[in-house]
Amino acid sequence: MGDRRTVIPFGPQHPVLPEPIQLKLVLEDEIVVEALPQIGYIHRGLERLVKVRDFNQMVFVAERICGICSFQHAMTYCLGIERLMNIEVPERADYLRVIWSELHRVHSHLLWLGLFADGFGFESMFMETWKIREAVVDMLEATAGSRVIISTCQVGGVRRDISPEFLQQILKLADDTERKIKAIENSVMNDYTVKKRTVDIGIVSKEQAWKLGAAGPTLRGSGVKWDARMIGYAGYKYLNFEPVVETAGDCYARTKVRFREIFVALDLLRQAIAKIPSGEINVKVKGNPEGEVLVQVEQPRGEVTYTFKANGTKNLEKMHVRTPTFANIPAFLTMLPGCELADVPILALTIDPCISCTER
Amino acid sequence: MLHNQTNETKETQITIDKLVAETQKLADNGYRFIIMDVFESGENFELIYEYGKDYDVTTLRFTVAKGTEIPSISPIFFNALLIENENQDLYGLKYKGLVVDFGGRLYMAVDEVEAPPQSMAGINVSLVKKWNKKADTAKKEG
Amino acid sequence: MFGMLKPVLKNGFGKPATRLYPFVIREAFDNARGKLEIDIDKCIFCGMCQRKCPSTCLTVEKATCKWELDPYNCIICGVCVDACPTKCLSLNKVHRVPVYVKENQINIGKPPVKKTAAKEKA
Repeated sequence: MGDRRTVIPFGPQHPVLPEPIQLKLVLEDEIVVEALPQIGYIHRGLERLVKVRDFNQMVFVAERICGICSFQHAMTYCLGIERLMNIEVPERADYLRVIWSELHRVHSHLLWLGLFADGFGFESMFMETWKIREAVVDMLEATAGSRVIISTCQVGGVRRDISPEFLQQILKLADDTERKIKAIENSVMNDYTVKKRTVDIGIVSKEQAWKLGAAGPTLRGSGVKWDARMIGYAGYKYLNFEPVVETAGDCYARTKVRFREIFVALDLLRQAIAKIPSGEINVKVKGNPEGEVLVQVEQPRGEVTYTFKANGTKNLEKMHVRTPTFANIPAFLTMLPGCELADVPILALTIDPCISCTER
Repeated sequence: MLHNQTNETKETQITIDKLVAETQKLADNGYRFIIMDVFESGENFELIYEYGKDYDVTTLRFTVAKGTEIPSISPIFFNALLIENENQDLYGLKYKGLVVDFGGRLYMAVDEVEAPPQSMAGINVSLVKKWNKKADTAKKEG
Repeated sequence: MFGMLKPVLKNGFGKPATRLYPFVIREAFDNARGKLEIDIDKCIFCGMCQRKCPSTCLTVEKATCKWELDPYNCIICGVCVDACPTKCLSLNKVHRVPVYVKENQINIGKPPVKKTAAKEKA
């Protein structure tokens, strides 16, 4: 009879995938034996634009690499250039950057929770979490001007200020969001069906996760205590928090990590608003950057690494971005062999794929 | 390389034949592979490999002439294969010993591009600016 | 099993969570960025906005006193508003409406009056 193997293409168009990626799955009767990825459907070549846009205008290109974690991309870019030019950002700008970053983290995790629930058919949870997320996105529009790509970070600080009334509204929003999420916690984390689809699926051990270079909740769900915010960039050096760690290494552990991170993010918002000082929000930038630098910042999906090389002119010589999904794909490829065909969408969503980040 | 981190950073200049041995030493010490950079200067490529453990970062740098084959570190660190395949596409580098080799077709489809897009070979920046201006005027007229 | 019962009943028998757009339109927030507008009488045609624009959507010609904007290329970032020396640019909070045919917005102004000539007159 020979080998009873079939090859099924998963993607690039698939109802659970938010962005196009193709996997060629080799199956033996419903168990996946091998998987070969194929990316490149959304490669825009954004890093080449450093040759025609000067270093102040590149912030707007950097924040358009991804739509969900866009503020953290802009912030990483600005942190790198500020380190090269030895610019000291005022304290109020540090706190404002933390506030906008944590709002992005809350809205990204709520978005992911909805997509994940939709991936195994739980559509009511998808609608509930996106309804809660709508209030957060409205707050981004009220403070910064637009819902998705907020364009408030610049080299030397931030471009807009948040008035004290809006800070009080953000506090009220944090309390409302916490109350609403606690109301649905039982249906997500303690539900029999959700547990049956996620416990013991896609296990990654602690040594494997570290050696494969996984990032974010994929790493922390396997027991490694590593969070790039502990480095202490921007306003995080003035705040206290602990990274959220789970030890099981399966899909349920990663879901629990992201769920608990929403509460940590709301707590960081409250701490930042209580401590924010008054003062300037940006400093003037003179001259051109020169040298090489590496920057790491914690995005909702993991840590992003930017490297720059500048040679003293107003155009950078090179900018290289390694996004967290790029680091999680090898871990995803080692989770696949041995799972069933019906689990492949769950595994694809559990690493929180943002393919437009991967192929910038 | 400067780092935006408050902890220790270390940089070592090596030659291409020591790459695999040094990488194995770092892997045995518990480091993981973070990122790899390619800088182009004249007829050479300068390659920079960065490894991390806890919050420290270590760098290995070396220079190769264009056209040499570089040994791949993907047998030691599986996640290096994506970056090495990407460099084959974007810069025209050649690696030997890759665990999974896409042959220069990770991003680019067949019959699409002929020259490596990110390499400085054949790119004239003032010409690119002239093309941008011409494209803008053509858009306004047509 | 009954965890979702409360939200389901509230959604089924309460009022809908969505608006009946286009019959009901939400008012824009005060800080929102909708579209770019210019007060052409104040413009001195220095070209600063064209140089700073990240998406190259502005064209300024001093000889014919013409200021041209491609509103469908504009990313409404506001860098030109910050850079303008006479503060003649501003961002309206209502977003532009969809159209069938894309056209550039052209404003023609008068040549800027030199400061020395104005002083002599006064």
